[in-house]
Amino acid sequence: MNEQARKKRIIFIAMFFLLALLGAWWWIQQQSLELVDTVWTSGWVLLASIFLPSIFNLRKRLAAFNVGKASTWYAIHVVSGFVAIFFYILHAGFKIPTGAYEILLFTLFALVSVTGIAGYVVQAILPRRMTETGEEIVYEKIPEEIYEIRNSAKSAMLAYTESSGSNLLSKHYDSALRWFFEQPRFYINHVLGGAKAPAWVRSQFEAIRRFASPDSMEHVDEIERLALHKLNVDTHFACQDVMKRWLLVHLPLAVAFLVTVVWHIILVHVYAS
Amino acid sequence: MSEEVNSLSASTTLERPKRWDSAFDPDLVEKDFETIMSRKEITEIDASFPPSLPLDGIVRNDMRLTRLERGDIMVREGDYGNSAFILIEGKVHIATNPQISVEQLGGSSAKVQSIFSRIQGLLKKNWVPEVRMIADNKQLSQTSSERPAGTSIPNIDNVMETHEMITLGEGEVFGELAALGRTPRTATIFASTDVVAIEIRWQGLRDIMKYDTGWRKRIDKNYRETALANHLSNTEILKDLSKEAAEHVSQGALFETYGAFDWHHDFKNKKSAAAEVIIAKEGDYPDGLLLIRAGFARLAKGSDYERRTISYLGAGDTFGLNELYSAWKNPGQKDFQLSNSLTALGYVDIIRIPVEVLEEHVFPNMPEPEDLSSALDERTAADDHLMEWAVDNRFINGSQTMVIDLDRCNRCDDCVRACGNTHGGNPRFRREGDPFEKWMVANACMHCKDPVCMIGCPTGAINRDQYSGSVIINDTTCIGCATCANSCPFENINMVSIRNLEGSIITDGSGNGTPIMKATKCDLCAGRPGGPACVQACPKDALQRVDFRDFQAQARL
Repeated sequence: MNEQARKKRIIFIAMFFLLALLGAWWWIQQQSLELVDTVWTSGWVLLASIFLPSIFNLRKRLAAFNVGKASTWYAIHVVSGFVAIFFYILHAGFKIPTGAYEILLFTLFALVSVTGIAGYVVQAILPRRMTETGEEIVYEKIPEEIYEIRNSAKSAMLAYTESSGSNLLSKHYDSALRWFFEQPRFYINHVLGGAKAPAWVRSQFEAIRRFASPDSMEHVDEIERLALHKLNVDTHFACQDVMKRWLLVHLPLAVAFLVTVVWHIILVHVYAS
Repeated sequence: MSEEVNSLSASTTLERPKRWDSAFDPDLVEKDFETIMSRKEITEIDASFPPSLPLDGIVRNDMRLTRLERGDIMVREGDYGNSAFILIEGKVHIATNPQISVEQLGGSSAKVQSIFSRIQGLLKKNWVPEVRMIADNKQLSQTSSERPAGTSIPNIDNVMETHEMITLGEGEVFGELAALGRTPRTATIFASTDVVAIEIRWQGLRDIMKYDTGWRKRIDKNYRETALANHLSNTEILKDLSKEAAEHVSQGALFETYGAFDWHHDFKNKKSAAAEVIIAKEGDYPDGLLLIRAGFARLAKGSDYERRTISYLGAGDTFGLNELYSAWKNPGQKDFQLSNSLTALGYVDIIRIPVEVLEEHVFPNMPEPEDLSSALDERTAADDHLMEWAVDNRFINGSQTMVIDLDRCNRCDDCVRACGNTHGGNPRFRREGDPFEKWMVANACMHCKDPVCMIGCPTGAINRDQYSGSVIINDTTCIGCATCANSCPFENINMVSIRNLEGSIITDGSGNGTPIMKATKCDLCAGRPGGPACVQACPKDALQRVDFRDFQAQARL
């Protein structure tokens, strides 16, 4: 899609919600000046702003229908989610609640908001980190990829041992590299974008190269190439894993929050009337 | 035996593969060969063929006798055929008004899904992929005495009565333009009696035309009379010519072909190292304007290791105009030479307009062409890197290539799920591919401008949608032969075994348990309002369907 058109659309959605937010705030202020209890108005406005983000998931189930682009729904989801934070404060006040149910509501809303913002940030940062690897690996194929890397590394290690007659590489493989090639490693470091993992690999091969037989160096080169490829696979695993698991936190919390909101509305209406 | 094996394994030589290792008809019987050799079209050939390419060799290896029954489809409109025909017995017909429908020819048109069918699909979600209703998938051959759908015209008598027809009889040649030009067949031709025809594959046709003036004149005359005027009038610099000047250009035009018709086999094995035939070389004297009629060519600057792809040319583009115009405009200036090279990306069909014709009939009546070379000279290797990648991988062939912006894609697979949801539970693409910078071309049908997958489909099941132009497969007439899947150089067509509602694989009933296979691929969600579901489903606008000609400018923003 044309980048300019995309930006225009997002700005339009943001402006629309900003205006809605200002309008609702002005309306509530007017009611306050007229000494009307604003908690009902702010409550319903808050419900609307909570409802909008929650229907994003519905869009995914309607793939066969022309219900607009998911990116538009996503933009509405994000913007209305931020607007909901404002209305929550307007509705409940800028304070920590005291009642047990209010604490539950507040906690769930805070967690949904925090995980939502975290997800937004994660989705803006981690894809670029994966692009920087220069490779693209499907998450579900990572175990297979690691299996193949490990087998190739083992073969290269055996080839070195056979050609040089030295157990230098096999001992080093057993003590350090086996751990690395076994499964995805340096998870947090890859998510945070640190340099620990490549530094570790570099140091391992610097140590080997000092003593390795020059005639069999091609096998060391091969294992190092595999290790560097494994770093990319690990980066993909860590980043994609975070992006998948994040949703498994955000979504149940959002559902739990919606359920407590519905019960809250029922309680309020029963006791207020 | 073991000695033989040892000597074979120790050998480092191999008999050089030859042009005729694979004959057009490996089972051509001597009687048929003699029948072809005795035809006047062959006996009248008065040319000396080189010893490596004897005429009887061409006949034996590049020709065959095709026998059809009344009603059989000989040439199907829209197909990409690779052979021409000479009728030697019987009659064939072309329906002109009304034309024969796509459905009668074995293809299908995309039908808009009703809202009810989509709601039904949503409510009756079936977790078994690739389900087919056996009754809907029965071929005509299985339901009646008629031949399989797509191979013959159903109800031939009715068609003959209700359509206006052109009749072709003994000695007529047809199908040569599409075979040589790699363009879709422009008409459907079917047998109205039992028919015997000589079928010549394009390689043989090209060789005979090369050495025999009679054949060349006959084929060229056919092309000049039917398609050339139309092509020239659609070329930007020639469209405003007077009738007389256009006639001169048409008479002076030369026809050339470069590269291999079946380039996709070579490309599939060698990818970017696939052979490219040089059409014009940078630094050479420009001796004619080249109009690309079909196929693609790489426009490059520099040589050997420094060769840099600047752009590519496709059908309708021209090469050498600036240099030729400049030479005509400044006759005193010396050393005119081509500023770029042109190489064939696969098969390229070219019309060459000689410089004398241009100078006399075209240049005096046209405005000075825009000089793009100075702008191209300022480009750096980095500017052209994306184009180099797209051309090397032949992504330029796509009209709807699926490109994913990896910086934006959060790998949620909503695109894959949306595709699966709109295609009976089995996605029609794989979110995989080699990335270039932040772009990745996914394994999804690109709806090629030169769709080699359509060559050789025996029933015409794979065809272009007449409205959208996308390449689609008629599931009912697909016989699962995998010709299209094997031809696709991008491996974007998958063969799947089909199942019933219970999830059992449907077999052919032969008792061997052989499954019925169907070819499946992206159909751009034909019939779904709003376009491809994958594009619509991406929450980050990371996925787009592009034509690389427009994409480069966008990608560099």
